[in-house]
Amino acid sequence: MIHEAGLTIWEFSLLLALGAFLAGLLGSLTGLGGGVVIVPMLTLLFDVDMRYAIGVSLLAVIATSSGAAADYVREGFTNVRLGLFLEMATTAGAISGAMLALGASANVIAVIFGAVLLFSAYFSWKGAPTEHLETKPNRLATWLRLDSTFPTPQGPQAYIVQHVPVGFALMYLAGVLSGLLGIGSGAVKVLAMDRAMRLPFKVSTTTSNFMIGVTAAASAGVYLHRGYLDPGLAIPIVLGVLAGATLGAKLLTRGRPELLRVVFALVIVAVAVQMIYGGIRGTF
Amino acid sequence: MPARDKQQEEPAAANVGEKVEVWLASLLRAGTLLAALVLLIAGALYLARHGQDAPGYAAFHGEPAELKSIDGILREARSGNREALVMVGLLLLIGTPIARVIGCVLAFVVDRDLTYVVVSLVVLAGLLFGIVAS
Repeated sequence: MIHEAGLTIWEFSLLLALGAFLAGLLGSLTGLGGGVVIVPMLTLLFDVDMRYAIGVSLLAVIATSSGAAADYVREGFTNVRLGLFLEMATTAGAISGAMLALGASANVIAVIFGAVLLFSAYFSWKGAPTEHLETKPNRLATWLRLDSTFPTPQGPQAYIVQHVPVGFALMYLAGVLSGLLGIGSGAVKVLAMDRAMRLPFKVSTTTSNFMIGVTAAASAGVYLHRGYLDPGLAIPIVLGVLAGATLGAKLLTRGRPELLRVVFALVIVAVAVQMIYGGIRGTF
Repeated sequence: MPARDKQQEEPAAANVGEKVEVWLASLLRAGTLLAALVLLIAGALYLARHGQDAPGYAAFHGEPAELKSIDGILREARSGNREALVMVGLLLLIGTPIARVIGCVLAFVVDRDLTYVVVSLVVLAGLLFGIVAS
């Protein structure tokens, strides 16, 4: 553990910026997002209080989501109608989650965090599923005009959205986790869109990224008023993650490295176990 | 509507809706860049003054009252408080996705798409509730 005692703010900030840069780089290269490792890094490695860690992690999540949105939308995969429709659920969830975080003990948050990390690692391990395009129209999706097309080498491919209420409920859960833990909840969002609503994988991931910033902005307001957003921590973390994620997105055009994804998933499992163990022992 | 100006530059976008999306995404990127720039400058000022201090994040103290509200931050920033200047960068960062939702409201109004005007207004109300009501 790198304890802040004995360090000046300069030295501490440089170490944080380096860690955040790596988190942003790996998060973007593996598709897991940088947010899932910021809170464990700050609390386990740098001995930062959980509340400061959650607050600054959420800011990093907003920065990476907004910064990457332009690339995604230009590719033509993002379904903006669907994203906005589901954001009604995620923003409501995010505010509930942030309110929950104000009352919950740091140890309880750590255990929930560990469980979500395990789920994200499992999700990353399985990778992209085979495509399963539905042809049966869904009445609610048709009424809301959620069906759309996505570009393929053979031209635009139409898709039909399924199970809208289930997806909506899962999105509320994703919002709660985002507000409670200071993460983007990308894994739960993709689960809702990909598995429940039967969207093509690329459309799920890009629409999820499109939504993450809005979800996080909803709980950031709550955190601001409670004094969770610290300027001294935000400088190295936000700038570091943003730089790392930007570099990661540039490198990604050469393909997603399979080995790195596996290694990062293993690291996340180890971190998850430590979060759960520490939370149960009450060390947070 | 800004999408019309982009018609020649964006041949990939097939319809007006998609061009609005591209425009809104550029707005997000511009907002993020602006926030990062403010963070960089205000951060340098902050580190120049406090760089040699000892960090104190192991225990939670919460931010001082003047950095917990938007008007407090703006007031302090005007009087040159360096922490408040950093917070202005953070407000820009948080404001960027909110600006995108406002952009969606306007785009759907122009499209006369009433359902999605309502949907984006509900999202906007949720965001403003998080910032104002707590």
